[in-house]
Amino acid sequence: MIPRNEDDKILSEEDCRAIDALLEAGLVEGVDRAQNRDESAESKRQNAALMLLRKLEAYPVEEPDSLLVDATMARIAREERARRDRLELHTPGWNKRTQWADFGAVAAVALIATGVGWPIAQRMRAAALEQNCANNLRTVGSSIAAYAVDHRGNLPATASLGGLFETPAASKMDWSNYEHSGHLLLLERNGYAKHDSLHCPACTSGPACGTFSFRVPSVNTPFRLQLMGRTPLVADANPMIHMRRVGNKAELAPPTSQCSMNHQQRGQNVLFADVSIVWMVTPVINGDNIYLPDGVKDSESLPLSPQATAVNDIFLAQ
Amino acid sequence: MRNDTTMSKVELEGAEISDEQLMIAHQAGDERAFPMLVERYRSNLHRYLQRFLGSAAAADDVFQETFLQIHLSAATFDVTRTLRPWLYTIASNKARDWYRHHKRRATISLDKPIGHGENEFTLLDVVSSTSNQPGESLSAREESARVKKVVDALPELHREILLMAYFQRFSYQHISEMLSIPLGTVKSRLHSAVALFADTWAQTTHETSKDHS
Repeated sequence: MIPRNEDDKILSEEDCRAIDALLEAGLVEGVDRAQNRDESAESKRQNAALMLLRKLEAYPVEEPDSLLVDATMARIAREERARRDRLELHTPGWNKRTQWADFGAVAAVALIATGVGWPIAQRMRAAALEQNCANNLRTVGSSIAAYAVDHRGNLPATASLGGLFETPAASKMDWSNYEHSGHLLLLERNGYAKHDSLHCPACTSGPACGTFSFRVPSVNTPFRLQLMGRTPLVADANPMIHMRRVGNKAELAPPTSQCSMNHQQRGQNVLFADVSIVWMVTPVINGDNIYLPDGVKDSESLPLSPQATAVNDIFLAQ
Repeated sequence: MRNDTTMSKVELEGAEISDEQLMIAHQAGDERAFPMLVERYRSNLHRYLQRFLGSAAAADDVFQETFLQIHLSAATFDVTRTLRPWLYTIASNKARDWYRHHKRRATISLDKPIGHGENEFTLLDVVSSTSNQPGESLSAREESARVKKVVDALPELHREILLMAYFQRFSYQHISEMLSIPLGTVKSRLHSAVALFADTWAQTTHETSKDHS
């Protein structure tokens, strides 16, 4: 019986053996052997297999064109030429054929492309870095929120720095030595954030550069997240403190326009207590400079021994 | 077979030069060797490719691709081995590439399993049921067209193994090496190919008989 379903086709074991025997003996020999035998079941099967396979010979084929060999050799020659040309482009000999005019034209195009392309590339790079910085701040914001949940709403403050209310005021430490943003390292230490996310990736101008500034607490006010409302919590490094640390006070611009050095003073990313991130081209919010404590008008009067700021004052330092 | 890479040009003109000797001469820089090799396989390989690809134009293209590849890989050819299986392996690979790039022919799905047990059938049944009865002689052209239709409809892998085994007379062992598949798989694939061919042939025969009646 011949099955009609394509899913159900299988040769009998005897047929499989007959085909194997034919193949192993070589088909031509198989034909002779099968035809010269008596009419045993095995030879009948081999004959049937051969009759079927012989039908394949009826497949229509054309005799290939005699030019096929020439066409093949021509194609190989073409490929060889193309390959040689590609190689020649990389050998020193190429400039022998190159005219000075061509060289000049290429140089001019390169110069123009560099002149136009370089600033564009720089702007694109700066924008990408600003975005990376904002992403890091977003991580910091989420980490602070998680930390606050786990610590009865308190913001991170490490005892190794003497606590937020003790160290700056009590020890009369200079801002240039006191790492206020060191409190943020608690986030890393307790597994809320990775070390890399506690820095701005845009700044490359020195070891102090690239840190984030952290909110300095107000006098007699608990340092808790829910009490911050929508006010700045973390931002790019405070430029005044940065300049003091690098000993470059004289070059400071007027404080009202002084933006963070992290982004070449084009502006700064600011993380608010509601974990929103804003790119600000000025550090002044509602008349208050986030980089100066209350009552301080410029960098020169920035106290060397800072302390907790006045109530409602917003001051971020690293 | 010789491995002598210093074969002279005079020697190359001899009639009994093997494929491998031609490759050695080609590797040694004799420009006459490669065209001789191409000419030697012009008919046989081209026919194989026509049956594989179902078109002479496609066969032309793949034939050239094959020899281009042979030329580019000539340095890697191990002259202690025979050239023919290597050549057909490359040709089959190129044909498969071409085929995949120009998927236009309907084939029977390879995913469908081959059945077992009760659905077994024998070639004797097929041959006896599809033998031409008196007065039903099929014209050569008609039979040719039917064979082409049936072979072209076979799945690529089945068609390939059928052509290698029947037309090229490659042994199971050779096919196993060429296709990089186990010997048992070669056998079962060929059995499936023959079963598919037989079944499709029987079906077309019955359809043709119905049309004639």
